[in-house]
Amino acid sequence: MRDNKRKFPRGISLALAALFWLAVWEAASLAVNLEFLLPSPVRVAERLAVLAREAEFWGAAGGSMLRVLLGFLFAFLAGVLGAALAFRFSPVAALLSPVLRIVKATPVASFILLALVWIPSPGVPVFTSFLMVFPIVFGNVLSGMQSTDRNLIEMGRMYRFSPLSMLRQIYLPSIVPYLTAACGTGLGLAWKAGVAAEVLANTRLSLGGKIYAAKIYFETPDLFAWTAVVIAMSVALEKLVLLLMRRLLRIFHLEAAHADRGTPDKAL
Amino acid sequence: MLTVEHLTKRFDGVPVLTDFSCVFPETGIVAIAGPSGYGKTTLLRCIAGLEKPDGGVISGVPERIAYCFQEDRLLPWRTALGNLEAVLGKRRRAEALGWLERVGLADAADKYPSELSGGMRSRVAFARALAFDAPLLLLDEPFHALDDATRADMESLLAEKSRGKLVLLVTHQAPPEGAPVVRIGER
Repeated sequence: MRDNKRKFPRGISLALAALFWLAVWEAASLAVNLEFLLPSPVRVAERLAVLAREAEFWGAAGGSMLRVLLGFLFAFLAGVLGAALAFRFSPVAALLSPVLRIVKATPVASFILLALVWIPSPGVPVFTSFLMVFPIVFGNVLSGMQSTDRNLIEMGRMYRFSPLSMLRQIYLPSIVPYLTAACGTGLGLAWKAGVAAEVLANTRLSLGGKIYAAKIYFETPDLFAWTAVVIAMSVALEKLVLLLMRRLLRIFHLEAAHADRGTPDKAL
Repeated sequence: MLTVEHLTKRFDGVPVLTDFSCVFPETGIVAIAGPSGYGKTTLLRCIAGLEKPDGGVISGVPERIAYCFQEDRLLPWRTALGNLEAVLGKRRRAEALGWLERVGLADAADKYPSELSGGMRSRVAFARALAFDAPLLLLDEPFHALDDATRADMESLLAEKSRGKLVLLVTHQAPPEGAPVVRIGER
């Protein structure tokens, strides 16, 4: 049967969709005709170009990137370690369960405000990112471990795989799709929570701090421009981390684990 | 000498093996036959230590056992060669390739289990069990997915490579020529 649907390459359809929404934004901005309510995309791009020429811009971007990355990395390490402990010792899972439920259900703003009381301001975005990402990495890695094929574990035992070999040959490939999904979701959340914390903590040299300042002075084009920077950096970091993971999988001959088991995250 | 005395095993209270006893020879192929659901696989699993018997004693089990399970149980993320290397170690790649060649799968060395047919996968699993080089081989219907000619080839390979070892072969097909048959679940 002939397929009558005309298909565009993915890049072209994405670009067309982006152009459509930019046109909608421009039209809405023209209709509102008040820059402090809704600046036009052209005006935002102009502000972005101006801001990017300032050294402070790169300082703020670098500072935010560092804080978000630190929070994510701590959460990643703690999540993997916690999940391994919970898998091995069930009381650990029982002990952590209520804490994780509370963390998941609590509004991020509550944590940020509490963290402002507990720890120095520059540490608040790191702590908030950590808190948002930890339950995701922990939950995903634990699910990956629990869903490891019992038959393969038995096979490994019969053929006398060493503990390291069991980890490399059986557990790790089972966890890979879950871990990749956790990275994709976790990084997005780390940025959202981290920047929200920077806004509330008015952190020095931060994108959140810049957003806060733009809001205080009604510089709406700047607010849009800084937000665009956050989005761009979040997407770029996610792509970079997933690329790095793909490299690591290739080095450890685990890319087939990803391909075979499929993954909830199609980004890789 | 592998000896099973008064072995009883129940699953959820339902007896699968009841008071089964058998003294196996030191070496050679012993076929284990009987209707489905009468405990042939359970017997192998009890011998391998994968199931705890509810009663009875199993003695003379060597430390090293090669177990070819009813399912292929290949690592889906490793190639056929990789699956053998997982057992033999990477330094013995040539040996692993040799085993694949012996089961007629040298050309499929770089293929993943999902790219192999059921019969090919069971041959990789069979090669893995032979390659493990244990004094006791537990083979649970390893040839059920094979055509008659390939099955005959695999049986002669088994006869050749299992000299000096004890092989317990669960089968629904005719046992290899000359192999004593232990029947489970038949009066």
